[in-house]
Amino acid sequence: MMALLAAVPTLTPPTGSDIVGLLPEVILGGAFVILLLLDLITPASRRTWLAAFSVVAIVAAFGTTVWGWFDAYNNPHVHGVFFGAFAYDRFGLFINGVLLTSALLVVVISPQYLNRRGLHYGEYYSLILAATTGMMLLAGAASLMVIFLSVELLSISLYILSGFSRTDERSQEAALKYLLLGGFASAFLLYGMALVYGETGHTQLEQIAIAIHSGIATVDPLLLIGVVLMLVGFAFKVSAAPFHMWTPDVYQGAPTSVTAFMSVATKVAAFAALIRVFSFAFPDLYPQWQTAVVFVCILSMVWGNLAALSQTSLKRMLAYSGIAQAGYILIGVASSPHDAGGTIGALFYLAAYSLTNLGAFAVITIMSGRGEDLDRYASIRGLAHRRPYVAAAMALFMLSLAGFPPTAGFFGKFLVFSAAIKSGLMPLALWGIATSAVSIFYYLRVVLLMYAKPDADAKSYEWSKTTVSGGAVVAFTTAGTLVFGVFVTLLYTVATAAQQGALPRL
Amino acid sequence: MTNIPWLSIVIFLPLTASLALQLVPGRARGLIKGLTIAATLATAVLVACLVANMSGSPAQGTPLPLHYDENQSWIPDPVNAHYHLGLDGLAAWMLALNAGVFLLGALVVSRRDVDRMKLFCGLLLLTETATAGVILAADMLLFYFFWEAMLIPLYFLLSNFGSEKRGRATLKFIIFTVAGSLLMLLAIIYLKVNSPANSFDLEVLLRTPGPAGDAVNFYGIHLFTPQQFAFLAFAIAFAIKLPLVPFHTWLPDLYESCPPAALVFFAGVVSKLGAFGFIRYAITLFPGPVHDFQWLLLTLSVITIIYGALMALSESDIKRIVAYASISHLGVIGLGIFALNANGINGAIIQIVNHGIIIASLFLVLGIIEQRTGTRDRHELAGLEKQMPYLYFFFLVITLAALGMPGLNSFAGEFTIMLGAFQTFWLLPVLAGIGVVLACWYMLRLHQGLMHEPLQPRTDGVRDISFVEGWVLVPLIALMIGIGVYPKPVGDIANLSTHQYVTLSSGPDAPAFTPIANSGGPG
Amino acid sequence: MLDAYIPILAFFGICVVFAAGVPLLSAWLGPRKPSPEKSMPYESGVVPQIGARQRFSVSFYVTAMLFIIFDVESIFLFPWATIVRQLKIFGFVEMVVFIATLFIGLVYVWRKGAFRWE
Repeated sequence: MMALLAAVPTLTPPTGSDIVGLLPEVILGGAFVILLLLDLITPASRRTWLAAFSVVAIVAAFGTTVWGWFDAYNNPHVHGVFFGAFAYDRFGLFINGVLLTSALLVVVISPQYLNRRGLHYGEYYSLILAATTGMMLLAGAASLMVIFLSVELLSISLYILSGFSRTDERSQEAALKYLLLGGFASAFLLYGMALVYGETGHTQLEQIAIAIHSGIATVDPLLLIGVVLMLVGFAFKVSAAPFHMWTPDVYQGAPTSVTAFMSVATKVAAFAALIRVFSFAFPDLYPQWQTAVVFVCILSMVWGNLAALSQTSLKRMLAYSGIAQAGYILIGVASSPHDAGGTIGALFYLAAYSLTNLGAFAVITIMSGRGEDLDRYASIRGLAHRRPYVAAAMALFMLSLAGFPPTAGFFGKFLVFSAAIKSGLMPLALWGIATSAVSIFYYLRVVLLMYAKPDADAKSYEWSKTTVSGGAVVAFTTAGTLVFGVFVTLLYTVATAAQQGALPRL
Repeated sequence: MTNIPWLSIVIFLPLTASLALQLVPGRARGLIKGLTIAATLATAVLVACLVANMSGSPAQGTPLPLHYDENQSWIPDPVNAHYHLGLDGLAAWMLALNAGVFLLGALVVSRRDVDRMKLFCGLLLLTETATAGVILAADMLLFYFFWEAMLIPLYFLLSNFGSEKRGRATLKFIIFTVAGSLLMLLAIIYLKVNSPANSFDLEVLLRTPGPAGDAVNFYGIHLFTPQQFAFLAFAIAFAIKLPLVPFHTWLPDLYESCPPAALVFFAGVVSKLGAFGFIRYAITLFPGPVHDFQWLLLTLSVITIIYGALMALSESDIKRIVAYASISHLGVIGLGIFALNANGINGAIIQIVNHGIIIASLFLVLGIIEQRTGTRDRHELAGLEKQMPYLYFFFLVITLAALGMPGLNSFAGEFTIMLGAFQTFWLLPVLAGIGVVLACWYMLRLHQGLMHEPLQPRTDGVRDISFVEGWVLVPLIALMIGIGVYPKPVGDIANLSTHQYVTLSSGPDAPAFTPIANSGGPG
Repeated sequence: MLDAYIPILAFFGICVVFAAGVPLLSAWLGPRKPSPEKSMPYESGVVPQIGARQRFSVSFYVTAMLFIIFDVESIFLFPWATIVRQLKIFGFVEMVVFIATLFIGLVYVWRKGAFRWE
């Protein structure tokens, strides 16, 4: 007790530069609260204004992120800001950029979709902003406490969002399933953190690494169990097998715009935290965690791809494909101790995957019918004959997910495979290509269906007209997928800078 | 002249035209046709000029002298990939074939009433961009980039315009090809990581190859060395495209369901890229392993020749007959490559182009017959001679060329290949000869069955080829006769590269590399 | 290190055995004479008029949630109060932000009708 009191006078308040490090998060968090108030005074017919306000907030946060990209480089905070609880570095800012782009695109496609589904409530935008804030905090978190808090912030927002369609049973089922399993995963994560804290006596990643490196904390089973439990918690959030059970049901049940957001942004943020924790807190334990990551990685690739083969709903197929993609990104994570290219590859892959997957979900979103999602395979048959441009964009997204050049997806795969070969993880690369070959079946099946002749006697589906906002999002993601697939350097140099700028480093 | 990136123009002219097509309304078929033909024609003229001006000596001191060298960084250092293009004797040949065949494809499209003309023409032009990229790339990653990208327009062409069975056939083709290419991708990455120069550049890799490595120990069993594994990965990828026998099953189904206009450039160029890949990459980058596996590959080639011929005899669908005949002939090209000597490779390079010309014209003729009569069954087709006298003549020349008649183009190539094979092992040409004899049988049977015999209900009252169709075929026939009578210029261009490929494939122990510009014709 | 916890483990074991054992024993040994009156839901001796499974208002739930929100607020306020002088203006601003956020939440639930008791 005396020691605690004695410590108080040394407590110096955070300085202005500390708050600068959190500027994007502060802007978005503030916007989230203000949106709640705005919702109260906005008439129901004018809720698109709320979307516009969110767009402004996201753009402002993006602007500060870009500014921070240079500021963090010029004035590095080697030990992080807020007493080392938060890392203000290019790694986190890169992830912020990806997250904000995803959030922006989702907000732009949402009003039209929500109106059609009869779900247009103001809370939607608040929750999207809250989840994004949580994800951004997670991307920069350098302390176990901040990691846990931000995981909860983003999870709780997403639980509500996935049950946003209150009259739809599947949406309710999705929310409940996500809540129960998510709570379970949080418990795993927290238990792991508790064990790690118990063994090392620190919650800051930098201090944990020092404690393990200097031998203050012995590498005993309890510490390793803690590490593995944290891996389980993160694997749940990135939906890697065998912790993926929630993914298909939740992705299918949630409103499509929400699925679009969480399939991309959750994965990106959780991978950022996973990479940061494992590379910066446990660099000395890599022989141990690498084995576990390799196991999860192979299982995700095999299970995700095989299960995706037999799906008949686009949303479920993309859910399983997301599990498989998590496996490919894990190849990069598993290689990261030996080769910086592993982390770079994972970051590149995450950005490429975000654009592509968001594009694919945007197509499903803007196509949806009145009151229902048209995501069955039967309902996209012959799409290309009536919506040639949307179908072409969807085909491109499928090809990018399958890893064909000239799309960004190809270079994502190429970079992680390169890293695996360079680090001597050849079996991982072999599993990767074997499962990639399998994945072509189900990705091309979608393309084949869209370009098939529509059945004359089949029920004709009422695809929505493509609006300007929906078309813009699809055009943007298409352009991104192609540009980063040809002018790879644009994204690659940024990902490299993000990897090199990652803090804290030993 | 050197400052203008001619090769990039060759690659991206069709792409630009394809994008420009998107601005044209879909109803304006005449404009779409015109634009497509203009773009392919411009490309062909440009390629012709480039190849004709190639005789000057290229940059020296490199194992693979390239003309019109273009080299720029593509992805920076840790990856270290370059946008590197270049033309050598082999690539010049392939490029000429490529430009010609796509021009032919564009002309044929314009002759036919293709549903959704704009999509078809756009995809045709995209395919040309990709194949030209494959041929010109001198960087492994760039090569792979185009190699895989090529599948996308092909996939859309086949799945949009093919016949009823296309779904299965297309998927089979894509899965086969991608499975092979993905293995090759790993091998490419391995080559780069293993090389001390840490580069994807073909020239650099040839100059500074990595160590072969120790045999992989798999639970006490010593398997191949990593380098041998990498070679096998390349070999499988190219053997699927070529195709050699155990990897050939996609080809007949695909040719059967392929739309006729696309078949011209599919059979003409795309399947030749397997042979091109073997010569350009597999035998040069792996001089050691290619000798280790030479006998396996030679055996497969011989099996391919005989198996293809036998299957051609047993089919009754005229497209499938020619598809199997094509497999058999590609086996001959394989035989030439794996003989690994000057005559074999020289013959293979010549034969790649000859076969491209022959197979494209064969499918053109069969396409015309199918369109006129509405059937592909050999037994329902007969007596066309009187109905279609002009077609009869053209078909006769093509048939004779296909079975290797002296005085027509195929003879020079096949003869040189047989010579090379004989130098490697005397029995090989004997076995391959069986295939040649069988070729006479099935080609003449096909020709006689279709042309002579009494008329069948299907063939009664069929129109002969039109004036324009005739003018599409005339240059092809002229080429067959021309190359057959005077093969020297052809051999010269092939020879520009033959020796360097032979040298490279004999490994580091071989005598120092000497560029040979003009050393007489083949055989 | 874990040896010290063995008594606790034993304690848990005894608890489980006891908790499971007593009901089992009574089920095994006790006499059972069920009658309709006995298996009726017990409502202070009054005969039930309607089924027990009914919907009821969840206002309890809202009350409980609101209570927790303000409870948590006070939990934060106490330790803050002890060092507010050392934290100076920064600590003050922090707490204003915190309470403002809570206040916005209160306004929100108010306007959404969480306090209407129908």
